[in-house]
Amino acid sequence: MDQPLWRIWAEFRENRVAVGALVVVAAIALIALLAPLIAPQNPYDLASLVLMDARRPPGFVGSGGYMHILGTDAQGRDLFSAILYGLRISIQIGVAAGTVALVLGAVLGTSAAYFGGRIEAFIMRIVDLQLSFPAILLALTLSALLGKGMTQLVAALVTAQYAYFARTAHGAASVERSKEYVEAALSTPLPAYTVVFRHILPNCLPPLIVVATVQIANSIALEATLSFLGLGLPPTEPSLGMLIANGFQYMLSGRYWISIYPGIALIVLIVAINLVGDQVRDQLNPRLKR
Amino acid sequence: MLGFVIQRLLQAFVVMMVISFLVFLGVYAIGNPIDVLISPDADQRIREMVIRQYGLDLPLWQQYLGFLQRLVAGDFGRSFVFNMPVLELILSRLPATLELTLAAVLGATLLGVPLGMYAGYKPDGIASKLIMGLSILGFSVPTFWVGLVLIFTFAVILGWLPAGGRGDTVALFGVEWSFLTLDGLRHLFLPALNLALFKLAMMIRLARAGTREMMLTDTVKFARAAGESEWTILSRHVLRLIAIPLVTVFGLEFSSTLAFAVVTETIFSWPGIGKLIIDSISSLDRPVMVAYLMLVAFLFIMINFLVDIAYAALDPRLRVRRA
Amino acid sequence: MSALLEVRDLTTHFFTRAGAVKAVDGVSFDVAEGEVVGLVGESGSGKSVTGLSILGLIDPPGRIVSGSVKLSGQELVGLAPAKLRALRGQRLAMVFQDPMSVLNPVLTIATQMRLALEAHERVSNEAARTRSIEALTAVRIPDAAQRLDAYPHQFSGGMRQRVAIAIALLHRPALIVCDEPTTALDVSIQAQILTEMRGLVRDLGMALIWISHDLATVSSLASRIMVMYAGRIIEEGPTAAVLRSPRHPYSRGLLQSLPSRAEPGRDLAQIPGSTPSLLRLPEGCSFRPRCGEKTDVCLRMPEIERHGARAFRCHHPLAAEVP
Repeated sequence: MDQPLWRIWAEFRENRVAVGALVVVAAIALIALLAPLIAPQNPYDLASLVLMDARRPPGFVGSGGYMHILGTDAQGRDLFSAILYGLRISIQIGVAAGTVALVLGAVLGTSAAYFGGRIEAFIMRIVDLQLSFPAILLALTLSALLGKGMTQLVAALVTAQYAYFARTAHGAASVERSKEYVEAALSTPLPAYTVVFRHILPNCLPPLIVVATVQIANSIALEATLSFLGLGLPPTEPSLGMLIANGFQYMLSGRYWISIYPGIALIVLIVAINLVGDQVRDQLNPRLKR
Repeated sequence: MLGFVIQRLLQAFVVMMVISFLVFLGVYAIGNPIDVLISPDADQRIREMVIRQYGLDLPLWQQYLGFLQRLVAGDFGRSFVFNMPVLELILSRLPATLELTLAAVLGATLLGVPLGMYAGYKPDGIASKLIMGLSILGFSVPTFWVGLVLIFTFAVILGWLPAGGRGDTVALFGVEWSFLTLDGLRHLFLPALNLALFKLAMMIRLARAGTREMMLTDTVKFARAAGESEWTILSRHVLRLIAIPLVTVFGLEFSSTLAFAVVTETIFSWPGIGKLIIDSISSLDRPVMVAYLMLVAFLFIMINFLVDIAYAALDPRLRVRRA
Repeated sequence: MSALLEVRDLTTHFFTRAGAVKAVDGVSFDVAEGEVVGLVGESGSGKSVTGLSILGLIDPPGRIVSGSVKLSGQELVGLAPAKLRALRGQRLAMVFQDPMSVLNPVLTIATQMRLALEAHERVSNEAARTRSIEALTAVRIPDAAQRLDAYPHQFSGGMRQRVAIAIALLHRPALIVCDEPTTALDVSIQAQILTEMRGLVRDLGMALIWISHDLATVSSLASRIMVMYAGRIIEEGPTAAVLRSPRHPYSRGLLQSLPSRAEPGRDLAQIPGSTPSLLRLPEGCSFRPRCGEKTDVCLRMPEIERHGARAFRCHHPLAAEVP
């Protein structure tokens, strides 16, 4: 990158909304990390669920002796705990899927640009084909085929998203590939992968980072959508999407909290990530530099 | 130009063939084709009949030919759940989804592009910041959540609009459409809005980014130097220039919207193919799943093809190169 | 009789995050009707910004901070946008450096010329075509009638620049500002366009400000030269006189660095050092760090001294040659 890190931070700091968003993301990440310590109840522990406490409004004091600040859901889960754990899962999945997709896509895209010729055409054809297929359908189909579970879900998400990274990496790497310094490096006895990793790849990072922030938010939203539709994670590990789905039927009868609070948590997380990503994108876009 | 069209058509055809082959492999070679053709609890006699009828004991390449033959004839098997030919089933649900998707995409574009252009023209104004803020929400909030909120607000609390289902329909060209009736529109409004919000946010952001970039170019400077009005510049120069990336996105997003209709249809109980596929997945109605995949792939390839053509029509530089 | 264009103390700054860039800092000059004036300087001297300021085409974060620009007595700085727009293209015009980025790639030449025409008059399609063909023919574009419906990318670089010039001339403006119009073209095309410009200017009686870094091209066209350095005019005078006996050390340096046919094989002389950053100008005379004649008094910014048709901004001007 041609701008020193501190300058990037200084520019970032000027947009107060973005800084606020970053704080929110950091806070949520921290809370999610500490969830087992903060949450009054472990929502995975089926034994701790008391059905009698089910569907109670916020403020209700349950049989566990503590107050359910956000109420309980249809299985008697303390909503506050469930949300904390749900956020944890969302972040885990978002980052995992995003990172794997990034690495996979970047390697594919850069390799394609480096090798050129038939290999490049072949790889990019597949990538383009996949890009025209909506992520949600891909994720849906894969989820249906692979079944429920964390790894299957991440695999589905990665398959649906690596193409964005591949295309971005390919575009950036192609530009770099044709620059003179690469020709110079290639004419030295340096092995090919050194050229790729130490010269080409670092210059492709800015656009990849931009795509990464968007895709992490997308992964989280996709996972929530899949869970909402009944795919993705098993019902014993409630993610935010599933909580919302479970509470859907109760909304029409006025017991709104079961869906609304998980929903709010989800939205805050995604919006915050997107705000940060927006600012990063604006800053790294060379065509907007005056 | 004609050569270009034909070339693209051929490419589309090739892709279709490849996909049909992949699906065939997945179902007939890797999976057990029996599961796709008959219900798992049919007895032995029926199984043997089906094996003979569909040639499942024949060599693979002959099966592939048979598969292709059936495809072309429109025979996708019968749905386990509905016990009717799958093609007929899907076609009967398709208009509902098309209606919903078109309403959403048109709405999103007609509203989003002007809003985005304005935000790009005056990027530091208050209206612009507001538009961008709203677009971030529309972009980030998952569709199903918006749907819930919409139902909650308009149907439960306010009671203005129905909470789901499709309204009365009127037949046009032999197909039932609901947008032609008032009741139909009442039912169409919320799901279309829900589906459109994401698209709207995207259109706004794209139009804004494109406009902002364009306003700094020499083309705009030169037009200004010639004394052209800001309105002329925006509508004749900028709009035309950002139309290219916008159309590409429009086309891709149409496919994506069609896919996202799955979520909206589930929430609003809209009887389209989206709801059909979700129900089929949970009830393991395999013939429907396979057919859905094929048809959706076909739709996407067609849409891509149309977008390619539109792209070439809009950008004269592309017509010269053999892409 | 007052001059066609009167510029007084024009100051344009760009307010960036790193500070205020003083692109143009107190520039004053006149242009008479039908006069061809050359504005010469290196990149970063402020010559382009001067041209853009005259036409009011400075985008944020730049702004004309102070000064006056009068066209036939009418003040342009601070003029209402609508009135300024009415003047641009009609009384004032501008030609830019890169013709490819200036012409809209997705519109035909015909459309772009019609837009420029319609900016100031109501014309029928017929009339627009006729006038466009006339304009294209005047700039020596062959087969004007057919070329009219072509797209910019179908023209060569030189042709495109002629089209841009044709557009600028559509309304017979009284003054044209040309910002490095031949820099991006081949040397042979450069010569052609220069000759044509000479002819056009003479025939149409327009005033021309020719902005360039290339003394050679400017001197073949302009009757008067102004040299800019770091946002200020540092020398001014009739072309022949300035070339024969420059008064400012910088002008002399420029002349000496030109390859000369009279002394082939001579090492090209260079002015030591480099142009100062417009963010951090040196104290006093901006040229001081690179000047061979500097003394302590140069720590104070020199004022413009006028002697008849000559003017210079220097404490130690070079000796005037006796003509």
